[in-house]
Amino acid sequence: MPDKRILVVEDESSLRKAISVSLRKHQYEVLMATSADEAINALSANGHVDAIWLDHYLLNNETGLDFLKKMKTQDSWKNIPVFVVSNSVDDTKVSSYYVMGIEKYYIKAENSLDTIIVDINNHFKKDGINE
Amino acid sequence: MRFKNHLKLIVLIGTLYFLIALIAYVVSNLVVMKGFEAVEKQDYETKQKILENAINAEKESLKGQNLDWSVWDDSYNFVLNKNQDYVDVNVNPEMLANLKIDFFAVLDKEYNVVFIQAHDSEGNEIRTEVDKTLIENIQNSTKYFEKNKKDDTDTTEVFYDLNGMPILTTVSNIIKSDSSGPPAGYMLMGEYINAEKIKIISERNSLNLSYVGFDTLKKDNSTVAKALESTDSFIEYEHSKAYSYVVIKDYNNQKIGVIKSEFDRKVNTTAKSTQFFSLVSIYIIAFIAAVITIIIFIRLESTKLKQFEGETKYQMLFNENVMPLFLIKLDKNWTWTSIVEQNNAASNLYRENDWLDIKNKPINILYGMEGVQIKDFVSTLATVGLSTAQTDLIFGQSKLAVEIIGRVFKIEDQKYLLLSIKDLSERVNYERRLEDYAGNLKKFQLAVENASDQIIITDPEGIILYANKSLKAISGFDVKEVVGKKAGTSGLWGGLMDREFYEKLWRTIDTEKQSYNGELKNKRKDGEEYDAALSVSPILDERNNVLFYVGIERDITKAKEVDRAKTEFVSLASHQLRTPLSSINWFTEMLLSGDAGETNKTQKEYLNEIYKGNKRMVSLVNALLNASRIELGTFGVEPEPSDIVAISKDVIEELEPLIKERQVYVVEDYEEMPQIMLDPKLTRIIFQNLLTNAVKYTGGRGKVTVTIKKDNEYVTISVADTGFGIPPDQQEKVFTKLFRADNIKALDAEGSGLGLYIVKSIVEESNGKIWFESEENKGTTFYVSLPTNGMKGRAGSKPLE
Repeated sequence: MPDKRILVVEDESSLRKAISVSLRKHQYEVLMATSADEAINALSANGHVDAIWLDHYLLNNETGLDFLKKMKTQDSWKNIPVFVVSNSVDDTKVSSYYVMGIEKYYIKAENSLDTIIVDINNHFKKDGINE
Repeated sequence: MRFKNHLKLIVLIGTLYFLIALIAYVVSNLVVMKGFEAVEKQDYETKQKILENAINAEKESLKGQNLDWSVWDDSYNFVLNKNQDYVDVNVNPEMLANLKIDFFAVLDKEYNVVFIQAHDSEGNEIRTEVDKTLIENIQNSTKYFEKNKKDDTDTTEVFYDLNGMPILTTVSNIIKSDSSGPPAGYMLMGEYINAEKIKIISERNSLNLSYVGFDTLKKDNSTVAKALESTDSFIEYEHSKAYSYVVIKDYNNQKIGVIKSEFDRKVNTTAKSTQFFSLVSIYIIAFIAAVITIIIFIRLESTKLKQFEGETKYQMLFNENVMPLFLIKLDKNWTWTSIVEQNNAASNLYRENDWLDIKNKPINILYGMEGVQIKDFVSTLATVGLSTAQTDLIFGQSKLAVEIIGRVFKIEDQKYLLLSIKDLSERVNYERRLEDYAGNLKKFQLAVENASDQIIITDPEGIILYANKSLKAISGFDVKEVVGKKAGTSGLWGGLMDREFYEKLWRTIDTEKQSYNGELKNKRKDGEEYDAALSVSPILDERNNVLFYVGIERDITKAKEVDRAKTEFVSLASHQLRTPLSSINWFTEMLLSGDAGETNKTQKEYLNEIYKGNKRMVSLVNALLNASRIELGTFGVEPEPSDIVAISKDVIEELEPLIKERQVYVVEDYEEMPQIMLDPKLTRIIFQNLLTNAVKYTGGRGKVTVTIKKDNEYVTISVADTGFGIPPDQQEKVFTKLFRADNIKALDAEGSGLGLYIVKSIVEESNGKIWFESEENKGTTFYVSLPTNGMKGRAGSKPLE
């Protein structure tokens, strides 16, 4: 998979580490953020991002949803595919994410990293075909 | 009672008089009838005489008619033979016919019939074939004639038939060869007095006559025949006819026949009217007599009754009185000497105390009364003549609360005491019960009054009749403010809910007459809103009409807050618990995938154990969360058109690793299913649990069969395994939270004991049914039926996971 850049927004450092290691293993370039603000900054600073790995509960008071709202205001960012990987399984939350146009919602504890990464890979493959 | 006696008496007297009247009637009737019959008899006897005369006259006329032999001279001649016997007689038949005789006979001197000329009953001439009877008659007649002949001259005699039927009149003439010689033979002419002739006689004399031969009559053996044996005439009476009989005799004075004359009885009608009047008068007399007797009797009775009232009545009043009564003789010193009388109630009361010698020592009646009290009682009697005391008397083993009333009176210088004992035990009991009752009522009242829930009672229109103290605490209103006002209105603490809510409430309690339970928002007097749990129950009378409503309301604002906090806590906890679990999960995964370098076989095995343990932890956390949501009632149901078969297939696929591990063979048997309104997540949980259990608790090479079938009402899922089964004694606990059967606990440490509890909760929430059949070591089949019209949606704060 050639040099796709993924922004991982995850407050839990151990998880962040596991995610980044796994993604890099699949040749993704990984940017990391622990809060909504950090994530926005990361997007602004790094220009192009191919996908976002997003958790719900983040550092500080803002959640993944807050981040998404901000992100969607920028035309250059609003089409970046978002994969939400969270342990929160509140239906209203899940549907709110889908309303915001995410690709998929994963429950951390129930999905292996591999499953999620394979999905992301597939997403880009599909994109590739479309392009 | 008395009336009944009178009635009996009246009936008796009535019957008696009736009998007397009847006898009088019969007697009078006999007398009257006899009288009439006597008169009648004379009449008949007269008529009989007439008849006899008529018959005699007839006979005479016959004699006279045929005596004129001169007529005969020209009508015949004899040819005599040598021996002076005639051989033939020449008769001029015309002459014979003119004579109107029935027969003509010629006899020789030995009276042998030489010749007979006769006519039969139709008037035909018979000459050769002579009736033997006639011959016999003629011979008999001539024998008589011979016997009685006076000289040689012609004789006329009347003869009667021996057989009874005809009456024969003969006229004889002696035939001589010359006038001086001996008779050469005899000549006879005759006529029958037969039925025909009787008729003629009858008509001539205006008598209704008939002839009966005496022998015929005798055969009847009737009273008439018997009577006529001894007498020559008889009158027989029937209801409307009378018959007079006259005997007819032959020359030997033998009775050969009877002439019967018949009369209509006039006596009957006359007698009847006489009878009627006699009867009526007799009855009138009898009736009057009866009335008089009854009046006299009643007079007598009432006098008697007065006497009875004077004596027996008071005796009865005394004896049958339910209150025990004693009549006690007192001596000069007011000592109770003896019991003169005691009534039944008194005997009964003291029966079980027969060891108390009250007969000889009447003061013992007061056994159980305190000495001082007895003294008081007796002395008051002596001074006032009347005394009462309330006390307990002792009877056998028991005490009896009584009131004793004594009253003294004098009869001819002798003092008596009338002692009555009034049983107060019932009253005492009643008073105690009343106290208890009142006490209970008070307790209830206090309980209601001081209950922490707000309790109101309204009339059927909802107007508040009562409110307890908690009203103030919960709604902020004073009791006085609300009584008389309508509950649930905006003027008080209600009115915040929509119209639909109140309509449903009233429909439930008023129309359906059911209790309503629900939650609502209300507002306090100060305007603050609060959440309330409300229960309203109609209290119905026996005809199912609402008497009043009882409304119980509890402020659940705090409870709701706690609930929300709990839910939030559960949600957070799930998140917090899962984060480290995810971490373990992923790092183990990475180690296993060799990201951190190659691991040896043992390391890999251990890592796998960690991975599996972690997975279990995740599902345990999920199950705990679900269970807590079910407890909190916070799980939502979101039905959407779902393919139940697809869900089943999906779950089986998901369980593939477990199925392989357990070496279980899964059979799927699905009927064609339409899309059904189901919450896919909940449906999935059902399949997950049932299938996981089936696979887990089935030994190697076992079989799990999944079927989905459908009828009009339900879609039924069955999951059958050939596993360990559920021990019979534990089957009833299968759906209990945290329950795990002993046999599987030993085999498998995993499992939360929450799965079937969750499934049951989901199924029941969906108006479905869940049940199972199980045999230990043979297998278990779980059935879940969900309504074909699907699950009902319910908003919930949390989905199940």
